[in-house]
Amino acid sequence: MFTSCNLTDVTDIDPVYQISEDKVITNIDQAQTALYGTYGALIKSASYITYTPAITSMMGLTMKPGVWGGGTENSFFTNDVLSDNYYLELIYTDMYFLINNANHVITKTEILETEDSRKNEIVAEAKFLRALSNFYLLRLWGEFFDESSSNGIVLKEEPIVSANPQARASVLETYNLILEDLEYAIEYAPSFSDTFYASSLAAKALKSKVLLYKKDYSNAAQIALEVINSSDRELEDTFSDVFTKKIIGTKEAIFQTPFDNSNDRNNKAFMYRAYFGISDYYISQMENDARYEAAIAYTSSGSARNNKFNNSVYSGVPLTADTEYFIRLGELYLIYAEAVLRGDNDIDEALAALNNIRERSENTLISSTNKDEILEAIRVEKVLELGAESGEEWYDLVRYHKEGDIDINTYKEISSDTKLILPLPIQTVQLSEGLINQNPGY
Amino acid sequence: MNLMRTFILLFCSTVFSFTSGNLLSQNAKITIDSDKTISVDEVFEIIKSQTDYTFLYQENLFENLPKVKVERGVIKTNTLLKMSLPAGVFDFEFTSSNSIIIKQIIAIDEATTIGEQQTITGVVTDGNNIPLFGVTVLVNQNERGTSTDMDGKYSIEAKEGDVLSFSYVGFTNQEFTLTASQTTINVVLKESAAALEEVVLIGYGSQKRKDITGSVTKVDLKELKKLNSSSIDNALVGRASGVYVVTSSGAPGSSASIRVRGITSIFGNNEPLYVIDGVPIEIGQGLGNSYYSQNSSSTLSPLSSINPQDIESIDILKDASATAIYGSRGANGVVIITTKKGSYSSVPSISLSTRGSVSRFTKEYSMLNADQFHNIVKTAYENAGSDLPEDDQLYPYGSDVNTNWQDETAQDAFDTNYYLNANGGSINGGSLYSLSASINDQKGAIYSTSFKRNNVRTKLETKLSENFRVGTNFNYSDTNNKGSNTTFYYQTIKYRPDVPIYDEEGNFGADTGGVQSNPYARVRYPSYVDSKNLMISLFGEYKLMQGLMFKSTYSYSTATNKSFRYTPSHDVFELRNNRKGTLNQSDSQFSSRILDNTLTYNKSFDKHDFNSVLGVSYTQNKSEFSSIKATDFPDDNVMVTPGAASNLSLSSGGTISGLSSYFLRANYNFDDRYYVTFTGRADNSTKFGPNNRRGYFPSGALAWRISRENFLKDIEFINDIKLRTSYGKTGSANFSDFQYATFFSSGSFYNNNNGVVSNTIPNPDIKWETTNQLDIAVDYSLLDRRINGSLGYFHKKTTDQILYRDVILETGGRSQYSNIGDFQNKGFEFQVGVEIFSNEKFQWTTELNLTTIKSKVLKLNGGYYNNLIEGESMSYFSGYKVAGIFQTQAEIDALNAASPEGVYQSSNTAPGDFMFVDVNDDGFIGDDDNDIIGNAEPDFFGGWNNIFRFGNFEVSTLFNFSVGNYLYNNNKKDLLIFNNYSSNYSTGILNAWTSENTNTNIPRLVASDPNNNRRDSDFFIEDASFFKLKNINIAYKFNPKLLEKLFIQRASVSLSASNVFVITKYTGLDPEVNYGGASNFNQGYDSASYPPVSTISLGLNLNL
Repeated sequence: MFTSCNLTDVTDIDPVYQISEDKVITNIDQAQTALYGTYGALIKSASYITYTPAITSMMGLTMKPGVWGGGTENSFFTNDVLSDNYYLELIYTDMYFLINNANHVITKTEILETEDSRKNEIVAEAKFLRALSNFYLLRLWGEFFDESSSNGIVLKEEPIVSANPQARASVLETYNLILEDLEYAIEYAPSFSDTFYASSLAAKALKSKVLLYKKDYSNAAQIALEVINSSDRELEDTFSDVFTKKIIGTKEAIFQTPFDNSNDRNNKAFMYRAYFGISDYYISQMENDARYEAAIAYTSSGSARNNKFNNSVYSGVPLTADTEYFIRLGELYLIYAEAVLRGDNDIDEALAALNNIRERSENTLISSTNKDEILEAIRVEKVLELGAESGEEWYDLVRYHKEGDIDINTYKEISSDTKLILPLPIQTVQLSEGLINQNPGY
Repeated sequence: MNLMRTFILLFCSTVFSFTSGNLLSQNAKITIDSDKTISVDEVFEIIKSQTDYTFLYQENLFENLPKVKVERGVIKTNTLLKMSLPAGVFDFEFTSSNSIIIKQIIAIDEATTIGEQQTITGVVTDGNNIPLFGVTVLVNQNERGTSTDMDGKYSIEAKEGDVLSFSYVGFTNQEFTLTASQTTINVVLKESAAALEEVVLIGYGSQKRKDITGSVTKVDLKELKKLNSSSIDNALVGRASGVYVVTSSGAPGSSASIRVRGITSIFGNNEPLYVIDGVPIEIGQGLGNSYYSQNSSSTLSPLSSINPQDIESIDILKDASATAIYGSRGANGVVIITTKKGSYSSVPSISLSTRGSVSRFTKEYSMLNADQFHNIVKTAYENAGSDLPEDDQLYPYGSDVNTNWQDETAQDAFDTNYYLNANGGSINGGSLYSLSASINDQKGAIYSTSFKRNNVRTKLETKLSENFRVGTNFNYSDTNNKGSNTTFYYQTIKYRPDVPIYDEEGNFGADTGGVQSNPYARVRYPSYVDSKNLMISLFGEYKLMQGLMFKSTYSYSTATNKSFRYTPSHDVFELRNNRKGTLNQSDSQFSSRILDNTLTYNKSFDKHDFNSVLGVSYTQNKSEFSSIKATDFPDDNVMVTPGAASNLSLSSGGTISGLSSYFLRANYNFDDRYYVTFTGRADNSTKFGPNNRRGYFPSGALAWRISRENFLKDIEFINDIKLRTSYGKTGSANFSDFQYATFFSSGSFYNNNNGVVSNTIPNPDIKWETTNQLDIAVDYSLLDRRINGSLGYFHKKTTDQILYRDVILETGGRSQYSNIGDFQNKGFEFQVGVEIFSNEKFQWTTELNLTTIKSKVLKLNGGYYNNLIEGESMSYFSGYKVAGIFQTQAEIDALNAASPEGVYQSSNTAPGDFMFVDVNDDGFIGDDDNDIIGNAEPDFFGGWNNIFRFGNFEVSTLFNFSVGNYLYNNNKKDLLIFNNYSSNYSTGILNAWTSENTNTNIPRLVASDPNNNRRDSDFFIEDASFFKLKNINIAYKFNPKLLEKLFIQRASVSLSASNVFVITKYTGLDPEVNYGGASNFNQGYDSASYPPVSTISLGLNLNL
């Protein structure tokens, strides 16, 4: 370029230290960097690792507002959340932030002309993250228990170019996209090597859970079994190993978030002490279980703490940071047990899977031949095994309630079935120009 | 009227900028467009307009000559002149420098021709001892001539008996007859009229004041310099109507906030655009207000790099007609600053000045001593019904310790300045130079606070050929500032008086419950900002043809700032966090390069006068920063550098933006009577998306010199009246770059991999904020030009104001910038200067300016920011209203009983607490009872300057005032209302309410403030109207004759005092503060972080 052009072409510039959309992914290395950024969205805010598990555990049975918690937290505990709730807006927005970045990675990597095998793997990993987020959004805000419902979620498959609103998809359409993404991930994602990254195995594990929610029980059982039988992962020797190993040398975790003492000193353990405590119900259930000591700790002043996320150490430095187990193998046994029972009526397989978990945790084995009893035992086992972790027991309550197995009001007083899902954040409904309908009952 | 004649006077700047390389012969052709009869003066005008010639002649030379008849056609210059000037009476010659010198032929006195030619030198000054530049000096009326240089000096050959005459526009002519021994003649010219011919700088050019159609205020620089301010922004206080200047604090090196006709932008910066020697400088780098206020503690304003003594002129452009040439950056007004330039004199003019000052706080708070402090703590705990704190809490170092922290952290605030300047050039105007160097060393009133600046500057220009001129500017300064952004004073006074400086072991004493080390220790923590500024430019100017000039300027400016703040390991907070020292270090660099190309064209014929400028300008700005937080150092003194720390965290970034622009200004006037101006600029900015990159900013102005119309011509007391109006559009794009599209940036870490994520919710429609401004004004000059001034009205409406707008959350974000708000500022500006006395012995001139402004949020259109409300101003305070103090329990019980909540304001309210007003009448005090309780905007403000001269003395007094503005006196909250025993209170708290002391407005002493008396209320909002003697300056000029032996041409001493007294009802230390000056929404907030100081200075100026 001539000097004079340098002097006068002042507006022909790109921003420094930030890359424009059309240049962010032009090769595989850049696609990998954008993929790391998308993964980073899992941990950049507390939405995925702290708030979502905490509010669902409060909606369910195992957590309650902590000492610093107030009305905002309590409304989840009483299953009476208003559409202007702070956490709603935060979680909803953060999940769409990840989806938007995943969409950048997917759409821009797909069109790269390269023979590099990482190309499909990167797309697959991004699709896994998109499926995970869409599934979480659907469980919280969509009528996931009713495939015929039009109240799915807003599905974003392209990066946003403006703030124009878009209508919600149906529940079926939502499931279809989630499953489509997971099938792609199963086919193209790398085989399992690391708990921090999406793998074909993680996609199978998540798919089994999605199918369970979709009531496609036989297929859910089949794919859960594939994961269980995979040689990549096995149960930890003891229940407490899961929470003492956390992220180092784990055998059981399938997909979880990392933490460290420099860039990712998240504050999960502190939040679980101050804002989100464990519920009295959970403590009372655990008191007669062999997992009690591993799951619950007491401070010197006698208050109970969630011992699953209490102390972590990284490179010798004690931190209040902690991980989130999106999927660990223990849950797969219980998914398998329920799915194989509901889908194939296979009591023996179900009981074996359930007792696998009880055996590992040194609890007495269950011996029953009654399908309903075993179904209930699986639900209870999920409270005991997975309680105060990711709120899985809340969705179990909703699913069992909708299947007619239980009346949810036996466990939580719910004013109406419309409270089984959350209201959409008011801001998005108000600004949608009538395109986004609020959930019924809100 | 003799206005028309003045063009013939020699103006150096005109001559040298417009001199042609192609010397016109005396046979140059002049075209006469029609047959007519014209005066000799008009002949000259025709010649001047069609050729390069300028004229040198005595002003009244042709007053009584007969008119000349000319015929349509072409005529030689030579012939035309011969026709016009009666032969034998006048002679004329063409000189090599394109001047035509016209001489009156007088009878030759034999005796005088015998005398020997010698060089006569001297200095021409005005009555104020200020050198006059460009005074025409003629020998024997027309024999030969020269003009004075920048320092008023001249040098000319003459002999005994010759008559030297001195003439200058706006001044009365003077003549001297040389005696045998005289070689030096110093002349003092008296002002004859308002300086209508004064040249005013406007964007990319200049204009005579009388021809200005827009609102431009020329700041009187010699008055401004009397304020002895280290930075130009603080010195503008009270100098110009429409310009609201508030000093942020009394710390050395602190900046001022300047608002020209109000706030126009929410996210943008509202400081005016500064154009320093042609280089536009945006405060806060044009990146918006949040960037500016976040960085104001780690960087120094680029204005602080300029030594006010180097400045030659300041012109403030206010209306749309004047500012539109700066297009998208003009909405907040433009301040044009030029530094000193060389002069046409072979003898260098060297000036040396030095100044020393001493400062002290204008007022200090009187704080409780340890005994008084302990007494009120005890009372407050008793009143609260709680147990007294344990003895080790109440008397951490025993009951005998009493420390006056104000005294322990004070230092003698001396300020010393040295300034050296040399100006000169070749006598033929070929080359000019100006060099200067200066040192400022200022200490603040608090220990370790200081401002130091070293500055060197040169300006050189030379003629490469007759038509081609080149020049360069260079300005470098390095500045070190300690403590301008600290809250030292505030932290100091509040520190507990019962803590010693050192404990028994020799460690620093500290409040055991507090998180801060004691003030004596704190002021010793290393903390400074280092700033280096460089501005260079190179220009070339080529005359293409008569009246047509091309100029190209390349400029580069760069500023680096390093901020260093170290908290040593013994700091209380460090100890508590198990850290061994924390260093916050940030480095930032900003650079701007600009290429300006302009084409100027001037043409005058008959009564028509046309001038225009057409230009293109390219600007590119870049900034980078990195900041390091380092902790755990091996020691506190030597190895305090990031590399020595055990733990480091680093952040960095930067941005870039480009602006390419085309602009045009065309002025036309007929007969100095009717004026039309059109100005426009098209800007192309990278801040906006492809659809909105271009912004067009047109403006137009009309003026009518009504005093030249027949119906006013004969009214004697009217000298000049000009009506003018302008309307136009300017813009603002002063916020962060690249909001229009999705961009990715790093910092999304995952498992120690640094990934990129999208960082914006793109708004492809984002565009300029637009300000449309109407200006209507009258400029007047009355009573023999002894009264001059102007009165104007302005109305500024800003549309497409950028605010946050909520967006649907499926975008992954909550809000985005959007152009949605409409704001308005309107007001009046009034300025008058009066020459009250003017005789030989005593002169008194006075100048008053006054401005009213009302701002209003017109529409928010669903956007929001901060506390903006439609229909209100932009800077109001909200809070509760205090109705008074409860005197009895019965009053409280009655209100509680009537409340639907059972409680009126707090269940612990007791007599002695504030009673708040139930604004919404719902029976209790809730959030809804917050109301508007004051406004930081003044009703009117201004300045009043007086100059008295008698003998060799000159006294100037500057008063400034502001009426109707409110301040949030945050100090009252902490110093007068008890909260706990972790901080000290002022002695005013001794007057707190008790059942015996009921006639007070200070609530009772009670621990933990159960009634929340400290909530935001109108108790803290005070009327801060004031009238202040801002500065008084007494100057004495030494008699030049006494100085001659010392080889000094001129010398003067001056004594000045600033912030001398203030009349106000405000109870804080000083009503003239603005601690949050950098923030658009923190105006009018007084936290006494570093109170204003009053300063007494003694200065000496020498001219060698």
